[in-house]
Amino acid sequence: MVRSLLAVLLLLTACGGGDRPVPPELLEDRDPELLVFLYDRSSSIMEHELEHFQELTRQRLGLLHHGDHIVALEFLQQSLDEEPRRWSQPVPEREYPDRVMQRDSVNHARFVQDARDYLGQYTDPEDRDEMLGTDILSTLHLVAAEVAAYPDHRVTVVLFSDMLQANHIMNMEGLVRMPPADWVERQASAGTLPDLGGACVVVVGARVDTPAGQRVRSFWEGYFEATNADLRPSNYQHRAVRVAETPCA
Amino acid sequence: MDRALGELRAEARHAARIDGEQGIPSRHDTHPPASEVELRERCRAYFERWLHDRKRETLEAVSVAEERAAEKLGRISLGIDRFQRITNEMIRLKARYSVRRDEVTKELASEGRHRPRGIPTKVYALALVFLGLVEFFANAPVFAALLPRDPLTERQIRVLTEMSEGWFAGAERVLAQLVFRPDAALLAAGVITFLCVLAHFFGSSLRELVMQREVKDRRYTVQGRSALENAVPLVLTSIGLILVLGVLYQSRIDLGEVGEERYVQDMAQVEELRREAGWLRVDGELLAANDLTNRGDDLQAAAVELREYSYSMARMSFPILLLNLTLVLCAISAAYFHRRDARREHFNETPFEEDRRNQIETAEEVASETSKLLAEVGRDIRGLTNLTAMGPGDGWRSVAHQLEAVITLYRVENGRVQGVEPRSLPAFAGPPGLDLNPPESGMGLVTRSPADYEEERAALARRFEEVRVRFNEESAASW
Repeated sequence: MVRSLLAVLLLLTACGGGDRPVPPELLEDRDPELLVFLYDRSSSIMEHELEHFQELTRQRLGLLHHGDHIVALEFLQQSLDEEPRRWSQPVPEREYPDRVMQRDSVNHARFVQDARDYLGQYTDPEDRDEMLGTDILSTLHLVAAEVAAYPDHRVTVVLFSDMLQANHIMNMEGLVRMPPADWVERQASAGTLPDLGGACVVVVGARVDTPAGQRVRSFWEGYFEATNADLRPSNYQHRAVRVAETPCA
Repeated sequence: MDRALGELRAEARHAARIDGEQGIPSRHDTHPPASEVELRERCRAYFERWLHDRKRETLEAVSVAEERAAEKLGRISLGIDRFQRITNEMIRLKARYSVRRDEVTKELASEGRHRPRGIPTKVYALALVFLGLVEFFANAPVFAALLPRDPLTERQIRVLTEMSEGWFAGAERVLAQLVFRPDAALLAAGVITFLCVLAHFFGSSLRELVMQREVKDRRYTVQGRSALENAVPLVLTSIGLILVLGVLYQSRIDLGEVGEERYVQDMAQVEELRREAGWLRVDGELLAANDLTNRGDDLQAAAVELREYSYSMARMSFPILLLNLTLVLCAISAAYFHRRDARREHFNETPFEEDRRNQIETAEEVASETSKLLAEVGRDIRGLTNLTAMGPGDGWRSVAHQLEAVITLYRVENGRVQGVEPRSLPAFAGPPGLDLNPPESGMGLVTRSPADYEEERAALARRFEEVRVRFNEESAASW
């Protein structure tokens, strides 16, 4: 009698009492990601472009994982002296790293939805009349600080911008005040460039179909190369359909 | 008869006067006068009639006496037969008693020293544990719902519940409820322990009381122990059981109100948490907002669950009370049957004793009646003997003398009227005798001689004495 009971107990344990297999998503050897969104709300950006930025933001937020970090920055207008408009939040960690919990899924979905809602204000077409310019170069210094703060994260920087630097030093709109050809080398030599080492840069909204656009693009390619960032030609687009999870893979 | 004799005497006197006045008989008459002759005839007729009557009466008396003697002798014979049968039956009863006692003694000797329990201890323990578990799992959630809730505990239970999987997921979830709410589990375990212990003592005391009462009824032993000794724990445990079941019942009733109150409070808190979470979202504090939202969701889920549980428990309170009562009765029954029977089996002599007593009483009644009949039949036989010895003409000489006195009276009266000495008259020289024939003896009146009856009676008396001696020996002897 007792032996029979023990046998049944052992059988039950063997059949269903063991550990369940770990889901594939947990087995991936994936570093956490630092996703940096940079938004250009200057008047040079059309309203439909802002809507496009918002759409891509929503799409890319859906690719975030537990433990990733998200940073949203609005481009500075003139210089680093300004107070940046910055928002940063970690994606909620898993309660148990080796288990898929319902609560984690709910938290993740809710966070993504909240982030989409919250980041809507970074693509808001209203109140842009008083903007003085777009200081991409200074803003990238802020990005460098973010990259430095998360050395163990894989960094993806998405710039929603036409990539036209427009402040009192440099104004690329209409190629009015373009930097000299050796500007990047000189700045690099002077050590005034930020360190974006390891960052994968994606540009959405920049024109590549005109000579002016190509000239601007070649400047930024040189710039990001000098700052150790990875800007691939395929990631420099005007109207991207989607932002891949790993654009530099 | 006396009146007829008186009439004869009056007629004799009257006839003597008439004859005397007429000078009859004269001194010359040698033959008795006609009046005397007639008187003589009438006296003889009177004697014949008297003798006939006596014979008829004697015949009747003999018949009655003979009938009585024969009937009583028959009854005596039947009584002695019955007396003998009863005595034989007593002997057979004694033999049956001996055989049965030997069988039972042998059977009891083959049993162990202790009588087996109605339920083995292992089964009893298993049953009690199972009943305790059923009660525990039925009542632990009630206490858990009644006691204050800790958010961290709720979260841990939720996590464990979510993590449990496989065949034992259900058991893990139930276990989580118990482990993370030790206060409620301890309280429920305590109450269930009370129930089990009380039911155990109730059942044991009840069995003891029943056994004691049964022993008392049969009067096997002299009662040294009071029934109160078992009645007191019986009463105390009854009160205890009623109190515990009452507490459980009232808890479920209260749970309905508590659940509703807590639901209102919790939902107010949920609203507050969600409002705060909304503000945090506006501020971009999404993690904090998420936390608050989660807490709100948890609290709402717990509140809804508690309200539904409380409502259903309050609604099911009476059926659960019946279930509790059933379980308590099961526990009492288990304890009752588990209680070892302390009584020792032994051979029951009572039925044999009762049979024997009845037989002795019946036999004594029969013997008494037979003795009485024997005495009565003796008297009847003696009466019959007297009747047959005397015959129907017993006393005839007296009658003959009285009749002769009538003739003498005629002669004396005649002489007095004539003024002569009757003996001087030649007609009166002869004796006044009537020459009456003496009657026959009474032996011809009976079918059997009284000696035969007496002989039969004596034989029955001897047989009766023999049976009585046997009966006395059997009735005086022990088993």
